[in-house]
Amino acid sequence: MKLIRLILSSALTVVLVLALNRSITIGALTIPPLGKFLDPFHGFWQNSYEHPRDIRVSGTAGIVHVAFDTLGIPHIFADNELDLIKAQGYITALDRLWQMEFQTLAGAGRISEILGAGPNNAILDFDRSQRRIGMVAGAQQFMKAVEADPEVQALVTAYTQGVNQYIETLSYGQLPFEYKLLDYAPEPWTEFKVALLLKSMAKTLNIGDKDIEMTNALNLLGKEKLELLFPDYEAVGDPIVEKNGKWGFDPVKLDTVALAVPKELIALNQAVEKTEEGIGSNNWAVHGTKTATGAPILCSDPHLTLSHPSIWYAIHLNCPTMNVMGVSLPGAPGVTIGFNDSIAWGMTNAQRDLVDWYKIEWRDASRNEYRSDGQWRKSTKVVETFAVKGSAPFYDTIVFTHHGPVTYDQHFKADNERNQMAFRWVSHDASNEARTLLMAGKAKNVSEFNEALKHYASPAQNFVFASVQGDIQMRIQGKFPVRRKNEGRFVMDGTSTRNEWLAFIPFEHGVYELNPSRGFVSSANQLHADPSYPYYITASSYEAYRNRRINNLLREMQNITPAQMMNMQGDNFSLKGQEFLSLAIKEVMGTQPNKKASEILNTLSAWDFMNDPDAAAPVYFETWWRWTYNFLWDELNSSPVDLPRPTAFNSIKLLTNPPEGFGYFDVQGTEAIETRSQLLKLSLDSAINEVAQWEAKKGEKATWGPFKGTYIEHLTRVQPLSSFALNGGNRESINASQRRAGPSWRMVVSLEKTGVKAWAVYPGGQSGNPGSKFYDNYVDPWRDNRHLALTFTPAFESYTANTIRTVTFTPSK
Amino acid sequence: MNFLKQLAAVIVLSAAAQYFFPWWTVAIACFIVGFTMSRSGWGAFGVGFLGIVLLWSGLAFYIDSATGSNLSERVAKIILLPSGDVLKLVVGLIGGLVGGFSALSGFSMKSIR
Repeated sequence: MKLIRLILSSALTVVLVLALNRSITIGALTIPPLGKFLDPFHGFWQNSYEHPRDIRVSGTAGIVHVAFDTLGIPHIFADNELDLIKAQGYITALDRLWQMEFQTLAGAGRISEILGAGPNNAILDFDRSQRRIGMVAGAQQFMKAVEADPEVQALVTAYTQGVNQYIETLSYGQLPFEYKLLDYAPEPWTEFKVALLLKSMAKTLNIGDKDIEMTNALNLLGKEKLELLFPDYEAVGDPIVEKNGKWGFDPVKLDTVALAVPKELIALNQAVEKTEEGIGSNNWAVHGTKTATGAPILCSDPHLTLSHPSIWYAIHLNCPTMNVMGVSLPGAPGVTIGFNDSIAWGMTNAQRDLVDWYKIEWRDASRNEYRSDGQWRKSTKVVETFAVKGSAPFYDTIVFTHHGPVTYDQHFKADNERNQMAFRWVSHDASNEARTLLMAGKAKNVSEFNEALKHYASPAQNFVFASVQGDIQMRIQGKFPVRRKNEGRFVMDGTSTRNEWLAFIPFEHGVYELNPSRGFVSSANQLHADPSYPYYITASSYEAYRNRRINNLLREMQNITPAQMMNMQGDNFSLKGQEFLSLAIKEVMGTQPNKKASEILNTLSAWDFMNDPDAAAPVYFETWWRWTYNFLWDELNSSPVDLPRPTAFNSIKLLTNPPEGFGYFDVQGTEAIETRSQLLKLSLDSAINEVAQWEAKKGEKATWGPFKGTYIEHLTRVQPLSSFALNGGNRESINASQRRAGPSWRMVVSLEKTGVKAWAVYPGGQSGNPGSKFYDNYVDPWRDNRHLALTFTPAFESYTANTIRTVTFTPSK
Repeated sequence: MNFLKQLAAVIVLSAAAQYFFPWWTVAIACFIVGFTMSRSGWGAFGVGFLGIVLLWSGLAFYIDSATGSNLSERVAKIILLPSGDVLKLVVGLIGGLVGGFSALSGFSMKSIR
């Protein structure tokens, strides 16, 4: 009896301990190891603590002092660059280690290692698509460029050492919260991870394309309809730079024609995510002649997916050769967007087609050789291994051609063996953006800044610049192939090298403007240059509304103050609303609308076109517009293959001035053949219905902030780690806050000779630890467009009086 | 009186073990108390259980009030519990079961000799 009790109780204890020490996966749900996770001595409770107030680290060549200010921003002071960047690695890891590693795992296509294959293999498919577009191959090229540049190489090494030094201090109890929740541990940081991180950022920004959809559209609709619905040039007005023919150089010319569009339609489940709509940005700089102080003011707000921890980490780096502050990408050395004692810079994404698909013709089913200029060229094959958590490893053979990897084939998302698409992406190429950021941080004037940009290839950006000397500049910088007309809009024939990127636009032929007479420069992802620019430009889409609003405001303003610029970054005006409603209200008024519809039309007639959070009109505009758009283009839904959709700007233009025989007003699924006003009426009724349902569900009147529901989601998608920020704005407003994307760093810099001043805010917080009060302390100020004053002085002592934490690095004994 | 001594022993030994070693060393601490001090099976289970409940829930309450962090509220929502306070009790309960059964195992080992 006693023996049985011993056996039973011991067995139960052992089973209990083992069960509570491992995570359990039930379907898509993973339960953390409950004993380990909940134990207050080492488990998640330990993440309730902030880091110690005073941290000491050894291993630098000289002494490095770090003080975190009351916003949680570290000010790092070192006596040489290597120590400075090493400390940056350590300090960034202190606040953001889990995010840094998670993003690089995503970059390398390794998320299924920690999260499993996912429902319907969704996570494994994401990983496969990452490797099949050549993320890893691109990062390897990046490393070659780094290795060829000893100065950059040394800094990347120093950063890596700093991160690893922090990782080595960690026991289970000190691991970031997410490692405990998902039950894994950090691996050593590597230089390669820096490359992966930068390539991931490139992918976020420049992988947008619609070549496959456009090819289908060309075959299905014909050339005339194609140019009507999807024109290259939309005549929106206000390109970033207008020179009306005065470009002052002879362009590089290619005397061949690159066009051979495959005839058959392409049926693919595209796995590569498109660049998300709403990923765009604003930046502008005003000349001293337009400001109150006489000093230039630079403004930059890149729009990205809203996530916790934030994509940006604010930091101040000081050593005898540089004094730079701004935001860094956690996992990469230097400052990405920011300012120093002399200059400031910011970026918006340059809309340009830098992605092509080449159709491959194989010699036989082995795919060992493919046709190129009448010869058989050898392919290479790489077997990729995916160590999927909770199941056997998965192997995927990826075939590489000289164009790039064959992303889609019979093993991945293709319905037949004819769809053999090799992917050419500018970010496959070796490039040295790390050098650009290093040099920009140290630049003292516009010519030094432009020297830095010469090393910059991808993702292509519109770089806004301003200096204490008084210069303002906009320069569109990236590696741009010299394209022939229509090249890049469609899938290309991969059998002829004539169709490839044969030359690149020289730096001197780039689009830029310095101190233009209008007194400001600006960009918001619109067309780069007026049609007189001597090179052919195409892109998957151009911004049409924010850019005009920015220019309209800046043209009118004089004696500008930084406070006005901060307000302008929060501007909620909807030019799209104004342009759509000026047609739509009038049309539906004439159709004898019912009582509810009349009421809504009155609300919209009285609207000031501000997407303000407490207003009802933006709710009705947005839903009415969306239903209109969907009814307008529903003819395209019945296509068996992927087709593109026209832009909002072109849709409103075609609604307003439909050409003869424009056959898209009919709403599919109804008996009648609708006219324009009937389409608009039906869509208004649908919108009213949708809003009524929302109101019934929520039990409140629909206002824009709650209706839009801007949501900052944790990278794990775990809801209790995420935040709502029910603000105004929308994709067409300068305050481009949408549900899941928006201004990721609003920065205003006044470049005064007596000292550079800066204000900024981002949707998140400096700490990646959900237990810290610095995890989400910027969310409310961001929601309300309240910028925080940054402290930026070259004297370390000024930070020590008001600090939440100091870190001191000393030489090892 | 003996129960209180045992309780103190469970708490002190477990806290000391956990200070240096992983969470499951509470099982060893409770086993030792059950083996050396307990006089009945129920008594052993009770002292192991209550000791760890007090230690774990107590420390959880302490950390929450000392740090002012809202992490326990977030975790409670993640694992579908109504509040951080309930989570603190659940934490104790989970640790308590391990403590109880290991103390019982310790006592059972002694009684078999």
